[in-house]
Amino acid sequence: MLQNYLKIAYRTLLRYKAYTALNVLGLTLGLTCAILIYLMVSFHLSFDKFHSKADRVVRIVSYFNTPDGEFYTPGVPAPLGDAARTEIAPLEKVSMVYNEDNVTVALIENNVPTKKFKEDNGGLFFVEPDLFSILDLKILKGNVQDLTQPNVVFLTEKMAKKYYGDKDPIGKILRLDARLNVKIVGIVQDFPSNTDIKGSIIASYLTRDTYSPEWAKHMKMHWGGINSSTQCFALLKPNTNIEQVQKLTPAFMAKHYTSAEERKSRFLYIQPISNIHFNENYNGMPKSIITTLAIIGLLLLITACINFINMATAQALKRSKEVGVRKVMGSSRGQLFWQFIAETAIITILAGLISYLLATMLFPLLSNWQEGIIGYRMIFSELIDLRFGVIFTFTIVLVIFISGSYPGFVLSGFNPVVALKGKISTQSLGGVSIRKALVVTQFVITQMLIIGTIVVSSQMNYFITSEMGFKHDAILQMPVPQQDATKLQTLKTQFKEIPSIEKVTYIWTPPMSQSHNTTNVKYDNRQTDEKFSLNTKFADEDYVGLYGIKIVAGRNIAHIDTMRETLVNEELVKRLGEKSNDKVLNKILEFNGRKITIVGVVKDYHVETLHSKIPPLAITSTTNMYHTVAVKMNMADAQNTIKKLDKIWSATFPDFVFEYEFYDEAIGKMYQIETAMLDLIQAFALIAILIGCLGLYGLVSFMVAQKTKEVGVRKVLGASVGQILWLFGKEFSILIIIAFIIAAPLAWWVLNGWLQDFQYRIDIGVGIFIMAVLLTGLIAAITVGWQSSRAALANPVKSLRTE
Amino acid sequence: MLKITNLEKIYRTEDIETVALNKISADVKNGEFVAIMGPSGCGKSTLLNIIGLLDDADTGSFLFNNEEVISYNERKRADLRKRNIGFVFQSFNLIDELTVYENVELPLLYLGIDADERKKRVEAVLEKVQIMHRRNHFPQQLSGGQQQRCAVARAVVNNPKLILADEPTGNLDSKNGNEVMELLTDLNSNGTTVVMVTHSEHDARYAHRIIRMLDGQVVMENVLS
Ligand SMILES: Nc1ncnc2c1ncn2[C@@H]1O[C@H](COP(=O)(O)OP(=O)(O)O)[C@@H](O)[C@H]1O
Ligand SMILES: [Mg+2]
Repeated sequence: MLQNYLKIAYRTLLRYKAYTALNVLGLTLGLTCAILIYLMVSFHLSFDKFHSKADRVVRIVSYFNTPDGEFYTPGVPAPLGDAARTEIAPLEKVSMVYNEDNVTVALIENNVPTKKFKEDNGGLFFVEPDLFSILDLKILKGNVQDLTQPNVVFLTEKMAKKYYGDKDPIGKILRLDARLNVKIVGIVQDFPSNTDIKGSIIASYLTRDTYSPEWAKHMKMHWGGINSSTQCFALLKPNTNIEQVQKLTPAFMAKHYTSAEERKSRFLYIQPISNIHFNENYNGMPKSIITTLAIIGLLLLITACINFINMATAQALKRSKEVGVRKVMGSSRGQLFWQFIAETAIITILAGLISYLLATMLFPLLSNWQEGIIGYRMIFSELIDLRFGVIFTFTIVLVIFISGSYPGFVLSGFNPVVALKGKISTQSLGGVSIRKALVVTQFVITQMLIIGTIVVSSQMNYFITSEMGFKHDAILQMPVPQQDATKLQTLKTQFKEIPSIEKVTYIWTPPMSQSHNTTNVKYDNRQTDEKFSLNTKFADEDYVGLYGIKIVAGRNIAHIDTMRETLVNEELVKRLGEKSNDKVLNKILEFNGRKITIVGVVKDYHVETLHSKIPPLAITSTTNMYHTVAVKMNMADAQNTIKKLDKIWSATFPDFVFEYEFYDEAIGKMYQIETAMLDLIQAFALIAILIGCLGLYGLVSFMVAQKTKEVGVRKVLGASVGQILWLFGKEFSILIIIAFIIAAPLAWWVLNGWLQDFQYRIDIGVGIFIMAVLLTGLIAAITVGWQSSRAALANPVKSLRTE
Repeated sequence: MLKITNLEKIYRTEDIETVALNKISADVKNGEFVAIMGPSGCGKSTLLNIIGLLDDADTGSFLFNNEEVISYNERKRADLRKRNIGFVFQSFNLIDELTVYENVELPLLYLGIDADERKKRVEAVLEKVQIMHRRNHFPQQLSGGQQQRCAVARAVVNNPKLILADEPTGNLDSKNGNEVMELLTDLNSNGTTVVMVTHSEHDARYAHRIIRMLDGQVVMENVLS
C-alpha cells in the first residue's frame, strides 16, 4: 500500500510540476535558513562548554556601584591574582592572564631578525601555569613548569607551522615588538573555534614585566586601576559552589581597599565560565542576537509550513476525484490521511535534502561573514553532530505533520459522492477562515520583519549620521609601536612635511573607541576619591585641533612628555559639582597616582558608541601611552599619501609592519554587532517575504479557480477589469489590515526593547508602520494582481463553460 | 439481499430543500439484475449511492444481507463496501495517475491481499474484459469503451456480491455500450447481484426487473422474462 501511495505521490508531483516546484522551493528556503541559523546558534551556545572542569571554572570580574549606576569590566586590578590565591580558600587554582591584541613578532636567527609578522587577533597571551590545570589546554611539547620563568613562550601548532613550517621551533628566539627576546619552550594544541579564552603565542605571565616595564613599575602592584584585558581565571575546589565564593568577596575587597568610598563602590563578581560568551556587561556578545536569530528561524519554518498548507489545500480541488474513487474502493479516512502525509513527506524530505546541500554550500559564506564581523570562525564538521541529526530529523517529521495534516484532514474528509461530481465547494474545504488565519499569520510575520528591518537600519543610520562631537572623516590612523620621544618628534615633523597632510597627533586611542582606561579620581583638595570613575585619554597638544574638539574654557594642553596638564570634559565639571567651567581651571586632578593640573575644558563628545552615555573624561599628554598616530589628510591623492606615510613610518620603525586604518572604518566596526543584526534581519525578511509570496500565489490560484464562474458572470454583466481585480484585492486588503493590527504592537514592543540598549536612539515613528503596511500591500498587490489579472482578463464565455 | 423501507433523503442548501428520496421502499434479491429508470433528477443516483453506502439517508431502514446498516459509521461502511460492493460510473472515474493495471489493483490493496494473489486476480480480470494488452497504459490513453471496461474490471476484481452501476453506458457509443452490458450480464449469470441506473430502454432489457422512479418514489415495477 505504501508503495502505491509513493507511486501516486510521485506521479502527482510530476504532473503538477509548477505546484511541486513552488512547494519544494518554499520549504527549501525555510529549511535552509533554519539549518544555517541552527548551526550558528548552536555554535555560540557551545562556547567554552568543552572544558572538562567547566562547572568549576570561573572568571573573577569587577563592577562598580556608583550613584550614576553600575559599571562593569572583565578586568581586575593586577595584584588581585596573587591575593585571591592565598586569601580566597575555595579557589583551588588561580591564573592571571593578559591579552595583548597587537604585537609585532620577528623571528631571530643569530641575533638578527629574519621575518616579521603582525599578530593582531588574540595574539600574545600572557598566562600563569595554573591556567593549564583550569582549562583543557593540551601541551604537545614542553613542560608547563617552564611558564614559571620570564621570557619564554609556547606557540600553538598553527603558529609553529606559520613561523617555522615543519622545522622544530623549540629553543628558537622571537622578538616581540622589537624590544623583547623570548624563547620558544613548547607547543600547545590549537585552541578550538568555540572558546573566548585564547591566544596564539602563549607567554609566561612573568614575561609581561619585561614586555611592559612601565606596567610593572606603576600598575602591577596598584589596586586602583583596571585594564579590561588583565583578567583572572580560577578553578573552584570540588564541591564548592559559586555563591559560597561570591560571599567571600566583600571581605576580600575590604582588606584591599581602605577608603569607605571604595568599599562602597567596588565589587567582584565570580562569573561562571558558561556565562562569559553571552554576558554583555563583561564584553560578551549580546544573547539577544542569538535569540532573535532562533526566533526568526522558527518564524521562517512556520511561514514555510503555512505556505505548504495553503498550496496543498488549494491543490486539493484537483485531487477530489481521486479521493472519491479511493473512498468508493473502500479506503478509510485514515488511509487517505496517511496517503497525503506520505506525499507531504516526499516533498518535505526532498526539500530537506536540498536544504542540507544548500546549507553545506552556503555555510562557508556565513562563516566568513561572521568571522569578518565578530571574529569567530565556525567549522562545519564540528557542528554536524548527533544532536544536529536528531534535531534535523525531528524537524523534518514535525514539518511533515504540521504541513501535511491539515490538507490531509480536509481531503480525507470529502464526501465521496460530492468529490466524484467534482463539486467540492469552499465550505467542504474546511472553511476559508482557517486558511485566511494562516495568511494573516504570514502577513504578521512579514510585517514584523519589515518593521524590524526599518527600525534597525534607521538606528544604524542615526549612529552614523548623528553628531558625535568630533570630526572623523579623512583621518588615517597608524600604530606607534615604540614610545621613544625623540623618534616620535622626528616622525611628526616628517609627516607634516608631506603637503597633503594637514595635521598630526599622537594618541592612545581616538576620541570614540572601544578600549578605555577608567580610574578613581581625587579633585582639588577634597579628602576622598570621587564617587564616579574617570575615563582617561592620552594625547598630545594636536589632538583637539585634529579632531575638531572645541575648548570651551581655559586653554589647550602644552607640549609636555609626561602627565602634568589635562583637559577635562563638561560632564566631569558637572559631576564634580562645579557651577561653571572656569571653576575647575588650574585645580588639581589626582589619578593614576599623579597630580595633574586642569588647564582647559572641552565640549562633551562621544567617547563610546551611542550605546553609552558620555562619561567624565580627562585628556592628558604622556608619551609612554601613545599607541597611535593619527593624521588629517587631503583625500585628493590618498593612495600616494599613504605610500609616503608608509615610507617614513617604516624608516622610523624598521622592525615593525606598517598598517593603517581610516577612522571612519574603525567607527563602523564598533557597530559591527548591529550591522550584523541588520544584515541578518534583512536577509531573512527577504526570504520570509519570498516564502509568503509563494503561499499567497497558491491561495490566489485557489480563489481564482473558485471564482471563475463569478468572474465570468460579472464580466458578462459589464464589470471592468479593475472591478474584478478589486474582487480579489478587497479580501487581501482586509487580511493585511488585520495582520497589521496584530503585527504593529508586537513589533513595537520587541523593537522598543531592543532600542533600550542604546542611550541615544531614534523614536519609532508612525512613518515606519505606515511604510511597513504599504510595503506589505505592494508585495501582496503584485502577487495577487499577477494571478487575478489572468482571471479578470479571461474570456467570460470560456470561464462560464467550465461549469 | 437489499431491503429498503421508507428511506428519506433531503438535501438542504441555504434556502431550498430538495426531497431526493421520498419515503421510498424497495428490495433486491440475491442474484437479481435490477435496472432503475426515471427522469433526470428523480433520485436514482441518490438511491444508488445510499445502497452503496457512499451516502446516508435521513430516515428509514436499510437492510444489507439482513443487517441494519443505516446507522453504520464511516469506518464500518468503508469496510462493508470494500468487501461486498463494486461500482461502475457513467464517467468511469479511473484515477488518472495510475495505469490500467494499478487502477484495477486498487480495491485489492484496500483489502490487504498479498502481491502474488493480487497479480493473479488482476490479470485474470483484465483478460476477461480484454484489455490485458493495455495494462500499462494510463486512462487518458484509452478509448471510452476501454476505460469503462477497465472500470468494470476494477468493480469486479474483489468478487463483490453486488455491483452498482450508475448509467454505465451513458458516455459510450452503442457498440461499446453493448460490450459493457454483456460483461454485466455475464457477471450476473455467475451469481453477482447487479443494480443499474439507466436512461436507455435497450439497456434496461438486460435486467430481470425494472424499477421506475419519479420524484423520489417508486412508481412502477416491470418484471421482464
Ligand atoms: N449534493 C446535493 N445537494 C443538493 N441537492 C442535490 C445533491 N445531489 C442531488 N441533489 C438533488 O437531488 C435530486 C436527485 O438527484 P439525483 O439522485 O442525482 O437524480 P438522478 O440521478 O435521478 O438524475 C435532484 O433534484 C438533485 O438536484
Ligand atoms: Mg444521476
